[in-house]
Amino acid sequence: MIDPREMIATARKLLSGEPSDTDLRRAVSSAYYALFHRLCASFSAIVLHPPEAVFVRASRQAYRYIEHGQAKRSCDEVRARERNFPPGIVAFANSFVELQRFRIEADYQPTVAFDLELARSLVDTAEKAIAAHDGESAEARRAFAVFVGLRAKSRS
Amino acid sequence: MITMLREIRPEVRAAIEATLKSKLNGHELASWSIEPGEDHDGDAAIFIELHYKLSERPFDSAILGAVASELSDKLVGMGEFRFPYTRHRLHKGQKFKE
Repeated sequence: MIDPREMIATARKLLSGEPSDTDLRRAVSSAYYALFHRLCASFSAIVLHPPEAVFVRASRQAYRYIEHGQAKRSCDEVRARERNFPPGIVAFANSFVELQRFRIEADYQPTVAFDLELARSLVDTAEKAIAAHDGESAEARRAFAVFVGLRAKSRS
Repeated sequence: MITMLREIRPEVRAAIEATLKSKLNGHELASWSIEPGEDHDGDAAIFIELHYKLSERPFDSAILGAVASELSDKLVGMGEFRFPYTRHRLHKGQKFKE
């Protein structure tokens, strides 16, 4: 199991002492991926509940179903238009969109500079977003995972 | 419509600045910018860059979430659906609240 809180802890380790540019980038990327894996775990828990360890391929497919681009668009919908989710879920959705942009910069844009303070603030943001998400009801978290994971079927 | 997306309405800009003023909890900005643009997926977005002055008061990261939530709520309430990407550039050496 990939534990989002361990990913946050890893990000903090990378930021301790005198982090290099690569440490800063890996910390920012880990902060985003902590949110991403939280979503993946939520979604796969719905699809395969209870988890059946024997169905390895099915488990893998369920866990890997969430796509970054689709998840970002759905989170933006939750933030801007689909306003019936509780505040902790909306806060998570907001942070997901924001951190995805920073993760792209950290992983693919060498000209964008990161400093310790910015990286630290992004790791804090991820940690608070996960706590806000996990503080909401199981029903709200399940509904959010479905909304983010499953693309709406076109009526046309 | 394209012209609108390339601009930021004055009332939206004013709402962003008012939010920053009310949510920074005493931390001062040395400068800031608010610009329209496109994000990594090509979606229209608003980019807000904040450069903070060094403060003796440790920075409380709860400010980040408070700013993001308030900005989002306010802008959506005004019919401004572009995502407000905010980059908080804290002063080098700024201490954080533990």
